[in-house]
Amino acid sequence: MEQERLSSGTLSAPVNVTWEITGRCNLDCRHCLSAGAARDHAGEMSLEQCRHFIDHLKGIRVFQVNIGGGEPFLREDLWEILDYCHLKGIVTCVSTNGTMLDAGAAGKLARMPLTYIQISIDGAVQETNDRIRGEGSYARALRGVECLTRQGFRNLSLNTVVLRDNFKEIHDLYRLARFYGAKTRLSRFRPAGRARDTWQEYHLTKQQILELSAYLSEFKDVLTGDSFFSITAEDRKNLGLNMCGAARMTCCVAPDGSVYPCAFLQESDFYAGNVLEQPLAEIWRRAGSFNLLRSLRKEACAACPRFDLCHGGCPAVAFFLKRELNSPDPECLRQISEPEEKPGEVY
Amino acid sequence: MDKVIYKLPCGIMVRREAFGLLFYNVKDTNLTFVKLDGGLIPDSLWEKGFFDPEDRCGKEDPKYNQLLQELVKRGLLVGTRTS
Repeated sequence: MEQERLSSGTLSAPVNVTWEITGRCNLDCRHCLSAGAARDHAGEMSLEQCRHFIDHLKGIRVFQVNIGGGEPFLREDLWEILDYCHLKGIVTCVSTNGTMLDAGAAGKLARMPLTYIQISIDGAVQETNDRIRGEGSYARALRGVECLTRQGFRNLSLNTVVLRDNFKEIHDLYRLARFYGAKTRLSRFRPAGRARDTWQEYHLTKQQILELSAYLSEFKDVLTGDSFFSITAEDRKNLGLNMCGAARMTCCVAPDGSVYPCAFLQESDFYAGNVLEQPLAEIWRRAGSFNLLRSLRKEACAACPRFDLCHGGCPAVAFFLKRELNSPDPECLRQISEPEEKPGEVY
Repeated sequence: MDKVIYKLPCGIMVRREAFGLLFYNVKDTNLTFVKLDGGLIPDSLWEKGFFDPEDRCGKEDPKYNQLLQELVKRGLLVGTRTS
């Protein structure tokens, strides 16, 4: 993949769109990027509006929609939304807590070849997971995993947000996923939404970041999406995106149709428009916040030997921790290798 | 006389970009960026799912054929003989 082209040009449309179709959730995870779970349907796009939006995605040749929330299966019309995406040839990847998946739902999903499912599990054992995601969530998520595997669902991954609290269980999580014939996906903990409150408690230590980098080098079948390019070694360069994809390859649509560069930058500063008022293609081309991210040049990183591997890292983490988009990623390998933390430093 | 038309393999999608073509593989969600001069691959590839290279210029072009073979080798196109 010739990703360098992305750093200099703009794609005609996103490759994939993260679409948070609901803010409602039946769990209350301590690291959730959503600031607070909604309790009703207010502010959600209607099914008709969803279909209209999917028509537009098809028109601009978006390949994939990553459906999340909230908990997507709380929307009773999720099945219609999935069917309509597939009818239009759009691949769907549903990010779910798995607690609502029963044999019936798993059977339907197994008959959808264009669907990928990602179930969140944040500990290899119940105690760890439930401390983070809520009591009973481990057993219910695993029941969902089992329903899918029994129905022969193939495109399954188990997703873990890597935290100080579950770090020592990463390899057991990998084995758990393999046991179920699923892939392991590790996601980065970012201080957005509710996670701002738990950042100090949960963010990885420098030693853990170094160990994680080595682990990812050893286990190249672990998926990371665009999470860990700031710490991965040269040998994973071609396994995923080596730069922030926000506004370059992807963007995020909130339940009410608001558009942001990514799920972690759902802040008023980055509001780009609303798909109910303006076509996404136009927002993609014209939004100020998108063009700001595209033109971002992290000067402090320019001379770094790792620049080609991360292009300065995650702007969202830099924004939340340093209040500057163009600061180097505070968790990149170079930054954490600095001699010592200054007393009182935020990170 | 037989000729070869080119199709998208099952599970491969494509769209035109300023730099060339962007392919997407449904089976693993991987992307492939292919730098190309505009117009080398006609719109019928994404509009109809196939194209006839002879429609482009009607004559042999070794560089063009080499490019098509490279795309076939990478699993992004399949060549099918038709009479």
